[in-house]
Amino acid sequence: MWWNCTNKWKKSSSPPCALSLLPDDILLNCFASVSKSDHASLSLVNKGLLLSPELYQVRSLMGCTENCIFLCLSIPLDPFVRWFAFYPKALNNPGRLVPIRPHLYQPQEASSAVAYGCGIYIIAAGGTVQYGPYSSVMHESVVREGKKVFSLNGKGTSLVYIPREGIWRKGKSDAYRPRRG
Amino acid sequence: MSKKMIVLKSSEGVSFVVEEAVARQSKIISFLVEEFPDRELPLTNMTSEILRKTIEYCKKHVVEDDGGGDSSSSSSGDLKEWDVKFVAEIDQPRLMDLLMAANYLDIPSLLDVTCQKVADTIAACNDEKEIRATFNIENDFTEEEVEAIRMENQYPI
Repeated sequence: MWWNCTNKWKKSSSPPCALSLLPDDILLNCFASVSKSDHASLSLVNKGLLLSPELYQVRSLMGCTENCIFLCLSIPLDPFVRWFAFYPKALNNPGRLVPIRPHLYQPQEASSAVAYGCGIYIIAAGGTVQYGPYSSVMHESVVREGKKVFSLNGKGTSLVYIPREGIWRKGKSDAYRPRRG
Repeated sequence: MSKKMIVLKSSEGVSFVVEEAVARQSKIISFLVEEFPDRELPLTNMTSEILRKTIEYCKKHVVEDDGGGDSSSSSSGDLKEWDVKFVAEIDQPRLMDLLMAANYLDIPSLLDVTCQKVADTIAACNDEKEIRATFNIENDFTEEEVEAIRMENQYPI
Protein backbone atom coordinates (compact mmCIF):
# COMPACT_ATOMS: atom_id res chain seq x y z
CA MET A 1 0.00 0.00 0.00
CA TRP A 2 1.26 3.41 -0.87
CA TRP A 3 0.95 6.67 0.91
CA ASN A 4 1.30 10.31 0.22
CA CYS A 5 1.65 12.16 3.45
CA THR A 6 0.90 15.53 1.97
CA ASN A 7 -0.39 16.75 5.30
CA LYS A 8 -3.26 18.70 3.75
CA TRP A 9 -5.71 17.80 6.44
CA LYS A 10 -9.10 19.34 6.75
CA LYS A 11 -8.82 20.79 10.18
CA SER A 12 -11.54 20.58 12.77
CA SER A 13 -12.89 23.83 14.14
CA SER A 14 -10.80 23.54 17.33
CA PRO A 15 -8.34 22.49 18.51
CA PRO A 16 -6.33 21.68 15.38
CA CYS A 17 -5.28 18.12 14.61
CA ALA A 18 -1.96 17.48 16.32
CA LEU A 19 -0.54 15.65 13.33
CA SER A 20 -1.47 18.46 10.95
CA LEU A 21 1.16 20.65 12.57
CA LEU A 22 3.99 18.28 11.68
CA PRO A 23 6.09 18.80 8.54
CA ASP A 24 5.52 16.23 5.79
CA ASP A 25 8.86 14.47 6.19
CA ILE A 26 8.36 14.06 9.94
CA LEU A 27 4.86 12.73 9.40
CA LEU A 28 6.27 10.23 6.93
CA ASN A 29 8.85 9.24 9.55
CA CYS A 30 6.08 8.57 12.09
CA PHE A 31 4.01 6.50 9.66
CA ALA A 32 7.04 4.53 8.48
CA SER A 33 7.27 2.88 11.89
CA VAL A 34 3.62 1.81 11.80
CA SER A 35 3.23 -1.86 10.93
CA LYS A 36 1.83 -2.74 7.52
CA SER A 37 -1.08 -4.50 9.17
CA ASP A 38 -2.26 -1.11 10.49
CA HIS A 39 -1.96 0.68 7.14
CA ALA A 40 -5.51 -0.24 6.13
CA SER A 41 -6.95 1.67 9.10
CA LEU A 42 -4.58 4.56 8.50
CA SER A 43 -5.72 4.86 4.88
CA LEU A 44 -9.29 5.45 6.05
CA VAL A 45 -8.47 8.24 8.49
CA ASN A 46 -8.39 11.30 6.23
CA LYS A 47 -7.94 12.18 2.56
CA GLY A 48 -4.72 13.93 3.50
CA LEU A 49 -3.16 10.49 3.44
CA LEU A 50 -3.14 9.55 -0.20
CA LEU A 51 -1.23 6.84 -1.98
CA SER A 52 2.45 7.34 -2.68
CA PRO A 53 5.56 5.21 -3.10
CA GLU A 54 7.38 7.51 -0.67
CA LEU A 55 6.37 5.57 2.42
CA TYR A 56 7.90 2.34 1.18
CA GLN A 57 11.13 4.17 0.38
CA VAL A 58 11.26 5.70 3.85
CA ARG A 59 10.43 2.33 5.42
CA SER A 60 13.28 0.76 3.44
CA LEU A 61 15.72 3.46 4.50
CA MET A 62 14.70 3.12 8.14
CA GLY A 63 14.85 -0.67 8.02
CA CYS A 64 11.13 -0.87 8.89
CA THR A 65 10.00 -3.05 5.99
CA GLU A 66 8.27 -6.27 6.95
CA ASN A 67 8.36 -9.62 5.23
CA CYS A 68 4.87 -10.81 4.40
CA ILE A 69 3.79 -14.23 3.24
CA PHE A 70 1.20 -14.26 0.47
CA LEU A 71 -0.88 -17.24 -0.50
CA CYS A 72 -2.30 -17.61 -4.00
CA LEU A 73 -5.21 -20.05 -4.21
CA SER A 74 -6.48 -21.26 -7.57
CA ILE A 75 -9.85 -23.03 -7.61
CA PRO A 76 -10.90 -25.01 -10.73
CA LEU A 77 -13.73 -23.37 -12.77
CA ASP A 78 -13.42 -20.15 -10.76
CA PRO A 79 -12.13 -17.38 -13.10
CA PHE A 80 -10.68 -15.51 -10.12
CA VAL A 81 -7.72 -16.71 -8.14
CA ARG A 82 -7.71 -15.91 -4.43
CA TRP A 83 -4.89 -14.02 -2.84
CA PHE A 84 -4.33 -13.89 0.90
CA ALA A 85 -1.78 -12.07 3.00
CA PHE A 86 -0.53 -13.62 6.22
CA TYR A 87 -0.23 -11.13 9.02
CA PRO A 88 0.70 -12.02 12.58
CA LYS A 89 -1.62 -9.22 13.68
CA ALA A 90 -4.71 -8.50 11.59
CA LEU A 91 -7.01 -5.77 12.82
CA ASN A 92 -10.56 -6.85 13.67
CA ASN A 93 -9.86 -10.23 12.22
CA PRO A 94 -9.60 -13.39 14.28
CA GLY A 95 -7.79 -15.16 11.46
CA ARG A 96 -4.36 -14.20 10.30
CA LEU A 97 -4.94 -14.78 6.60
CA VAL A 98 -6.37 -11.58 5.17
CA PRO A 99 -7.98 -11.69 1.72
CA ILE A 100 -6.64 -9.14 -0.74
CA ARG A 101 -7.98 -8.15 -4.14
CA PRO A 102 -10.41 -11.03 -4.72
CA HIS A 103 -11.61 -9.63 -8.02
CA LEU A 104 -8.27 -9.69 -9.75
CA TYR A 105 -8.54 -11.52 -13.07
CA GLN A 106 -5.55 -13.74 -13.44
CA PRO A 107 -5.57 -16.56 -16.02
CA GLN A 108 -4.61 -19.67 -14.13
CA GLU A 109 -3.05 -21.45 -17.09
CA ALA A 110 -0.34 -18.94 -17.92
CA SER A 111 0.73 -16.55 -15.22
CA SER A 112 3.60 -15.94 -12.92
CA ALA A 113 4.27 -13.56 -10.06
CA VAL A 114 7.26 -11.72 -8.71
CA ALA A 115 7.60 -9.63 -5.58
CA TYR A 116 9.41 -6.35 -5.95
CA GLY A 117 9.51 -3.45 -3.52
CA CYS A 118 6.05 -2.95 -2.08
CA GLY A 119 4.34 -4.74 -4.95
CA ILE A 120 3.58 -8.14 -6.34
CA TYR A 121 3.54 -8.21 -10.11
CA ILE A 122 1.40 -10.81 -11.77
CA ILE A 123 2.25 -11.52 -15.35
CA ALA A 124 0.00 -13.57 -17.61
CA ALA A 125 -0.41 -14.34 -21.31
CA GLY A 126 -2.42 -11.69 -23.13
CA GLY A 127 -1.94 -8.10 -24.12
CA THR A 128 -3.10 -5.56 -21.55
CA VAL A 129 -0.60 -3.82 -19.38
CA GLN A 130 -1.20 -2.25 -15.99
CA TYR A 131 1.24 -1.41 -13.26
CA GLY A 132 1.38 -0.88 -9.56
CA PRO A 133 1.28 -3.06 -6.48
CA TYR A 134 -0.84 -6.14 -6.91
CA SER A 135 -1.59 -5.10 -10.47
CA SER A 136 -1.75 -7.51 -13.35
CA VAL A 137 0.36 -7.30 -16.44
CA MET A 138 -0.71 -9.57 -19.23
CA HIS A 139 2.42 -11.37 -20.31
CA GLU A 140 3.85 -14.82 -19.99
CA SER A 141 6.73 -14.82 -17.59
CA VAL A 142 8.38 -12.41 -15.26
CA VAL A 143 11.76 -12.15 -13.71
CA ARG A 144 13.39 -9.71 -11.34
CA GLU A 145 16.91 -8.62 -12.02
CA GLY A 146 18.64 -5.93 -10.01
CA LYS A 147 16.42 -2.88 -9.87
CA LYS A 148 14.20 -3.87 -12.79
CA VAL A 149 11.37 -6.31 -13.39
CA PHE A 150 11.34 -7.95 -16.82
CA SER A 151 8.27 -9.41 -18.43
CA LEU A 152 8.77 -11.65 -21.44
CA ASN A 153 6.39 -13.19 -23.96
CA GLY A 154 6.74 -16.00 -26.49
CA LYS A 155 7.09 -13.65 -29.46
CA GLY A 156 10.41 -12.39 -28.27
CA THR A 157 9.23 -9.01 -27.00
CA SER A 158 9.68 -7.84 -23.47
CA LEU A 159 8.50 -5.16 -21.08
CA VAL A 160 10.74 -3.64 -18.46
CA TYR A 161 9.23 -2.21 -15.29
CA ILE A 162 11.29 0.42 -13.53
CA PRO A 163 9.85 0.71 -10.02
CA ARG A 164 11.58 4.02 -9.26
CA GLU A 165 9.82 5.65 -12.18
CA GLY A 166 6.67 3.57 -11.83
CA ILE A 167 6.42 2.85 -15.54
CA TRP A 168 6.63 -0.07 -17.92
CA ARG A 169 8.74 0.34 -21.04
CA LYS A 170 8.87 -1.74 -24.16
CA GLY A 171 12.14 -3.54 -24.51
CA LYS A 172 13.83 -5.68 -27.09
CA SER A 173 13.91 -9.45 -26.88
CA ASP A 174 17.44 -9.32 -25.59
CA ALA A 175 16.71 -6.61 -22.99
CA TYR A 176 16.89 -9.14 -20.21
CA ARG A 177 20.25 -10.74 -19.71
CA PRO A 178 20.52 -12.80 -16.56
CA ARG A 179 23.59 -12.26 -14.45
CA ARG A 180 26.11 -15.01 -14.42
CA GLY A 181 27.97 -16.38 -11.42
CA MET B 1 38.58 21.47 34.91
CA SER B 2 35.25 23.26 34.99
CA LYS B 3 32.82 22.44 32.24
CA LYS B 4 31.81 25.16 29.82
CA MET B 5 28.23 26.27 30.31
CA ILE B 6 25.88 27.98 27.88
CA VAL B 7 22.55 29.74 28.42
CA LEU B 8 19.36 28.85 26.53
CA LYS B 9 16.35 31.14 26.81
CA SER B 10 12.76 29.92 26.37
CA SER B 11 9.85 31.79 24.75
CA GLU B 12 8.78 32.98 28.20
CA GLY B 13 12.22 34.47 28.78
CA VAL B 14 13.30 31.82 31.30
CA SER B 15 17.05 31.11 31.18
CA PHE B 16 18.45 27.58 31.41
CA VAL B 17 22.15 27.13 32.14
CA VAL B 18 23.30 23.95 30.42
CA GLU B 19 26.65 22.19 29.96
CA GLU B 20 27.84 22.81 26.43
CA ALA B 21 28.33 19.08 25.78
CA VAL B 22 24.69 18.48 26.70
CA ALA B 23 23.36 21.27 24.49
CA ARG B 24 25.59 20.31 21.57
CA GLN B 25 23.50 17.22 20.93
CA SER B 26 21.37 19.67 19.02
CA LYS B 27 23.07 20.32 15.71
CA ILE B 28 21.48 23.76 15.59
CA ILE B 29 22.76 24.74 19.04
CA SER B 30 26.14 23.26 18.18
CA PHE B 31 26.29 25.56 15.16
CA LEU B 32 25.05 28.60 17.10
CA VAL B 33 27.58 28.03 19.90
CA GLU B 34 30.40 28.21 17.38
CA GLU B 35 28.96 31.24 15.60
CA PHE B 36 28.01 33.15 18.72
CA PRO B 37 30.24 32.03 21.59
CA ASP B 38 29.56 33.45 25.06
CA ARG B 39 26.12 34.62 24.06
CA GLU B 40 22.72 33.64 25.45
CA LEU B 41 20.78 31.68 22.81
CA PRO B 42 17.09 32.64 22.52
CA LEU B 43 14.76 29.79 21.53
CA THR B 44 11.66 31.89 20.96
CA ASN B 45 9.46 29.07 19.65
CA MET B 46 10.07 26.76 22.61
CA THR B 47 8.20 27.00 25.88
CA SER B 48 10.06 26.54 29.16
CA GLU B 49 8.28 23.22 29.71
CA ILE B 50 9.37 21.76 26.38
CA LEU B 51 12.88 23.20 26.66
CA ARG B 52 13.17 21.63 30.13
CA LYS B 53 12.10 18.23 28.76
CA THR B 54 14.52 18.55 25.84
CA ILE B 55 17.39 19.36 28.18
CA GLU B 56 16.38 16.44 30.42
CA TYR B 57 16.65 14.13 27.40
CA CYS B 58 19.98 15.59 26.28
CA LYS B 59 21.45 15.31 29.79
CA LYS B 60 20.63 11.61 29.86
CA HIS B 61 22.06 11.03 26.39
CA VAL B 62 25.23 13.11 26.66
CA VAL B 63 28.42 11.29 25.72
CA GLU B 64 31.17 12.47 28.02
CA ASP B 65 34.85 12.44 27.19
CA ASP B 66 36.48 11.25 30.41
CA GLY B 67 39.99 11.39 29.01
CA GLY B 68 40.11 7.68 28.26
CA GLY B 69 37.86 8.00 25.21
CA ASP B 70 34.17 8.71 24.76
CA SER B 71 31.77 7.08 27.15
CA SER B 72 28.05 7.44 27.52
CA SER B 73 26.71 8.14 30.98
CA SER B 74 24.41 5.09 30.63
CA SER B 75 24.51 1.72 28.87
CA SER B 76 22.47 1.44 25.66
CA GLY B 77 20.01 -0.99 27.26
CA ASP B 78 19.40 1.38 30.17
CA LEU B 79 19.01 4.28 27.75
CA LYS B 80 16.36 2.49 25.69
CA GLU B 81 14.43 1.67 28.83
CA TRP B 82 14.76 5.26 30.00
CA ASP B 83 13.58 6.56 26.60
CA VAL B 84 10.45 4.41 26.71
CA LYS B 85 9.61 5.73 30.19
CA PHE B 86 10.46 9.28 29.13
CA VAL B 87 7.96 9.39 26.26
CA ALA B 88 5.36 7.32 28.13
CA GLU B 89 5.09 10.03 30.77
CA ILE B 90 4.36 12.77 28.22
CA ASP B 91 0.78 13.48 27.15
CA GLN B 92 -0.02 13.75 23.46
CA PRO B 93 -0.02 17.56 22.96
CA ARG B 94 3.34 17.83 24.70
CA LEU B 95 4.67 14.85 22.73
CA MET B 96 3.88 16.76 19.52
CA ASP B 97 5.62 19.86 20.90
CA LEU B 98 8.64 17.78 21.84
CA LEU B 99 8.68 16.18 18.40
CA MET B 100 8.61 19.64 16.82
CA ALA B 101 11.41 20.76 19.17
CA ALA B 102 13.53 17.73 18.22
CA ASN B 103 12.96 18.58 14.57
CA TYR B 104 13.71 22.28 15.03
CA LEU B 105 16.82 21.75 17.14
CA ASP B 106 17.91 18.82 14.97
CA ILE B 107 18.33 16.14 17.63
CA PRO B 108 17.98 12.93 15.56
CA SER B 109 17.73 10.45 18.45
CA LEU B 110 14.97 12.46 20.20
CA LEU B 111 13.16 12.75 16.88
CA ASP B 112 13.32 8.96 16.45
CA VAL B 113 12.01 8.32 19.95
CA THR B 114 9.09 10.75 19.59
CA CYS B 115 8.20 9.54 16.06
CA GLN B 116 8.19 5.97 17.36
CA LYS B 117 5.82 7.00 20.14
CA VAL B 118 3.41 8.48 17.56
CA ALA B 119 3.63 5.23 15.56
CA ASP B 120 2.97 3.18 18.72
CA THR B 121 -0.04 5.36 19.53
CA ILE B 122 -1.46 4.73 16.04
CA ALA B 123 -0.76 0.99 16.34
CA ALA B 124 -2.58 0.89 19.69
CA CYS B 125 -5.77 2.18 18.06
CA ASN B 126 -8.34 -0.45 17.07
CA ASP B 127 -9.54 1.22 13.89
CA GLU B 128 -9.55 4.43 11.87
CA LYS B 129 -12.24 5.94 14.13
CA GLU B 130 -10.01 5.60 17.17
CA ILE B 131 -7.05 7.08 15.26
CA ARG B 132 -9.22 10.09 14.32
CA ALA B 133 -10.42 10.51 17.89
CA THR B 134 -6.91 10.19 19.34
CA PHE B 135 -5.36 12.79 17.05
CA ASN B 136 -8.46 14.94 16.58
CA ILE B 137 -8.63 14.35 12.83
CA GLU B 138 -11.77 15.12 10.86
CA ASN B 139 -13.35 12.37 8.78
CA ASP B 140 -13.63 13.83 5.28
CA PHE B 141 -14.60 10.58 3.53
CA THR B 142 -18.08 9.78 2.25
CA GLU B 143 -19.41 6.26 2.86
CA GLU B 144 -18.96 5.48 -0.84
CA GLU B 145 -15.32 6.54 -0.72
CA VAL B 146 -14.69 4.40 2.36
CA GLU B 147 -16.27 1.43 0.60
CA ALA B 148 -14.11 2.04 -2.49
CA ILE B 149 -10.93 2.12 -0.39
CA ARG B 150 -11.97 -1.02 1.46
CA MET B 151 -12.49 -2.77 -1.89
CA GLU B 152 -9.11 -1.52 -3.05
CA ASN B 153 -7.34 -2.73 0.07
CA GLN B 154 -9.58 -5.68 0.74
CA TYR B 155 -8.81 -5.75 4.38
CA PRO B 156 -11.46 -6.99 6.78
CA ILE B 157 -14.07 -4.51 7.94
